[in-house]
Amino acid sequence: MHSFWVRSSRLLAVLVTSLSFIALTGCSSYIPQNILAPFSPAAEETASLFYFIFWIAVVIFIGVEGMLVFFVLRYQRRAQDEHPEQYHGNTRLEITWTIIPALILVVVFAFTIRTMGQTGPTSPPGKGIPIKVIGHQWWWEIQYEDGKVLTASELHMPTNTVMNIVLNSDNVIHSFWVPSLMGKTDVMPSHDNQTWLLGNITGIFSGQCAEFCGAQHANMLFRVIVQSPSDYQAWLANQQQPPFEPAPGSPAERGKQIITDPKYLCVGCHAIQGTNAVGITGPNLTHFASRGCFAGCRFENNHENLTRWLTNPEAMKPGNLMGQALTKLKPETPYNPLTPDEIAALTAYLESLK
Amino acid sequence: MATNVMTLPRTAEPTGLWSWITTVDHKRLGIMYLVTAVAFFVIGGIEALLIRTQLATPNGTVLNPDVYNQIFTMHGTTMVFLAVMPLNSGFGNYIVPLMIGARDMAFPRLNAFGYWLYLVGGLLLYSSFFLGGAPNAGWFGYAPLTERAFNLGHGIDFWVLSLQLLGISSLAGGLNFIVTILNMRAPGLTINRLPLFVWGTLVTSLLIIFAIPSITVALILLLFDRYFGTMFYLPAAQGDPLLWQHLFWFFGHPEVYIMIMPAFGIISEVLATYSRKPIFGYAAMAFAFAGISFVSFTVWAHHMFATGISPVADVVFAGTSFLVAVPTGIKIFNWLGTIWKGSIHITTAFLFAAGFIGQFTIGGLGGVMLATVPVDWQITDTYFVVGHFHYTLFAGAVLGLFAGLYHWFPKMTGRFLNERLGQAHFWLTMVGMTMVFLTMHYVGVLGMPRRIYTYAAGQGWDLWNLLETVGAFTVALGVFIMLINIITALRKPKTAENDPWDGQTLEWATSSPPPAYNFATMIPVNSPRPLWDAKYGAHSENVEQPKKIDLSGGGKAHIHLPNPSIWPLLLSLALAVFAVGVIFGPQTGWIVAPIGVLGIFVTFIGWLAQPASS
Repeated sequence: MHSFWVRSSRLLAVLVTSLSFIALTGCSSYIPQNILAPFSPAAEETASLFYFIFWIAVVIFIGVEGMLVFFVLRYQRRAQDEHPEQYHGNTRLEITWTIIPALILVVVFAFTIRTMGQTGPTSPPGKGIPIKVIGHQWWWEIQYEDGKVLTASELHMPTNTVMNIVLNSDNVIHSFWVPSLMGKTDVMPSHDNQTWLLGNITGIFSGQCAEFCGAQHANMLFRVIVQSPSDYQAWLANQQQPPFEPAPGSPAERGKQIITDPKYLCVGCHAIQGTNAVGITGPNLTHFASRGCFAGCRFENNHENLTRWLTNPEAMKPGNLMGQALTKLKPETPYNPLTPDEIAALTAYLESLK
Repeated sequence: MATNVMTLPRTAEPTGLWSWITTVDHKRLGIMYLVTAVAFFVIGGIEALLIRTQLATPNGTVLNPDVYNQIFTMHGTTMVFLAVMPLNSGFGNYIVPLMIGARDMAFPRLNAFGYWLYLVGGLLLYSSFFLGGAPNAGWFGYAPLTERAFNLGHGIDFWVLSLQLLGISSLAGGLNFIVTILNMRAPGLTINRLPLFVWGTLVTSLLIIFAIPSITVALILLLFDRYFGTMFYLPAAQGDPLLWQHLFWFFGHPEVYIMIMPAFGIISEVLATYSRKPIFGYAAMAFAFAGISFVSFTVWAHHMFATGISPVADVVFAGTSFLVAVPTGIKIFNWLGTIWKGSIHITTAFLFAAGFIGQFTIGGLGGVMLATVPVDWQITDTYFVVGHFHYTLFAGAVLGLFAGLYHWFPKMTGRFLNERLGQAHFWLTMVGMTMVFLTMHYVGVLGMPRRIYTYAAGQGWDLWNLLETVGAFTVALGVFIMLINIITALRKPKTAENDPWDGQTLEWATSSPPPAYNFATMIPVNSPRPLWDAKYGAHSENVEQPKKIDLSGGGKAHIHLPNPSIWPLLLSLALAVFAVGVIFGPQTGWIVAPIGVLGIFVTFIGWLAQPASS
């Protein structure tokens, strides 16, 4: 079923989509979360099942609409005293249109069960690398090596290796979703759910929280970075290094002093390995600069964004807990307890944490 | 043409504000339900336009995230509980007693109580905007996001208490419909001859009786969690958020059919009337109503495929969900059979009914796609779902209600709605809703999650969101034209005769609008369409010669009608005082809630002490 439906349907879908795009915008573009542009076996199976049912639905739809329009046009009243034949029903016809849809649904049901076995979150195709993904308000924490490597917003994985994922939340319900790789699994505070990822093409695939989880649900994004096994190993080795140690007297060292000074509150939520910063509410910053995005992957990790963020996080992501905590610290003013010099020092330090 | 209104000394119909406040007349209450529900429908529509304006472009800045979350929560809650359900109650109240040849509902004061409690519940919910913020956790309010730990304000408390009041109102209405339909039918109107709108209302009422208790329990547990730290839904004490989802959807899925069954009924009446034909496959249709309703209690966990319930549970609930498609298909085909070889009079009402078939089919087919578990894992919680349920609730319930409006407006007011404006309303609705809701399916497939207040550019969603917004305003323009149409029609003289559409059922056998006592005489009933039989002779079996039954006692008797009563309103107000007392319990030292309880007791006694009729 898969290759025929996928190929013919994808061709048509691409054609229709690109035609409408070209017609309407004059250009065509890559749609990162399109479930019909799968980049994994599981997403491909799901897309082919989607098309299979979609085309059945299209046929039924055309039949119903065709009859409807035909009847409405054909049987309009011609004379005021016109009296049509009073049909009360037709048992044979009614049995037919009960049984045929039922049979179609049996077929769809069978394919549903079959595809569940291939794409279900609880039926991974094997054992690979165990990781843990934790949903926070509003960012994703990813734990490797039994929690020895803690990172945020970016999930790294090697090609052709099953990632066995345990999902957990210590707050509200979230939902873990990487449309081009895998369907959703909810992240429940009450029990650990499982899911898995398997990618066979290197690339960066976007994911997003899919269960409404509060003020910044919209900006609880993440990326899945599928790498060659050697790149993955290099990344993992780097993550296990101790953090960069800034040179004495450098701006980065001043930044480190600020971030580890309890009066600035950073250490309450963030952790940097080997320092007194051991908070767990916010993302671990030990290798912050190795990540391409921050703040729930809403912003590219660059100098300008980081400066804006440290100046006023509430303005960039209203309701986020860092902004909330700091607003409580100084409720009389909008958050800005840091001087521009301090922000520059902090930025220098964070950017050194490769 | 049969005219069944005798020259009967018309019992004086009271006028004035007081007469409306104390009325127990099902027709007046029906109109009050309809007017109030249309007002809430407009408010909910404005909320929809705010949402669409925010999402028209990437990085929208019209609403901040907190306000956006309040607005979409209120949009859903309003449309479900304050617009569609009471619109159904409005038509049911007005039409069902007429269709079964009854003089009023079985419990007229309970009927008034249902209306007042609905109004009070709606106002209580909306007062939250001015008292610290509206609820902001979505219309299905998943725990633990609704728990005090994650939601400090009073919004959720307003939501809980208002929904409890609205639940009581719905239960009162549901019980009343069941007793009325089972006990007060005209002679000859057996259960297997009920017009399908009456049958749909009966089935809906049974759904209400069995479904509402589940959300009542869910809400009480949430209330206890928030006020007394019981932790039913909090994992820290082995509570479970999944419990909320089971309890909520055990109500929430039948609720879909609570909203849509009356529309199924309206569509059936409208298609048959304007085609001059009987319902095709009446028995199959009636069984399909009942079948869908029964199965609707067995599918709730298809809202929870991604929550980590076992694959076996997924398969079972997928199977039952597919099952719903069979009776739904039967209905679609039988409606097509009803207009087949008919003599179709194209009116606005007929157009909306035909549009319903065309559009609701998309809702049904989208439902099958969502019941397919692996596909659901991809498209659940995306805009595909938002598009899908709007195709069932807007293309289903609301188009049906629009059809009912154009169909019954002459009966209710004695005046006609303008057909030209009506058809403008129809076409704007068709084009607009396709632009909004069909596009939503597509943008969901492109990976746009629901309930996001913003999105970044460059994800392939921008153009489609703009299109949806234009579509939403197109639908709104149609509704605006409908309101203009209603207002101008009401200023014109009463020109509608008893039976302007060549109707088939009993409501067309009395004057437009009907007198307070509905019928002075009753024609015999031998089929689901007694008036048709009286006019053209029965084509069905068991034909008796049409013969009028005099209900007037020879034109001299005093017509026995229930007394007006103020107690239903007072009891509703007492319940509202209690609700406010609970919401602000900690702030008021729990003084107000006992006053409310006392008020409930006193007004209840007052109600009991007043004779129902003199």
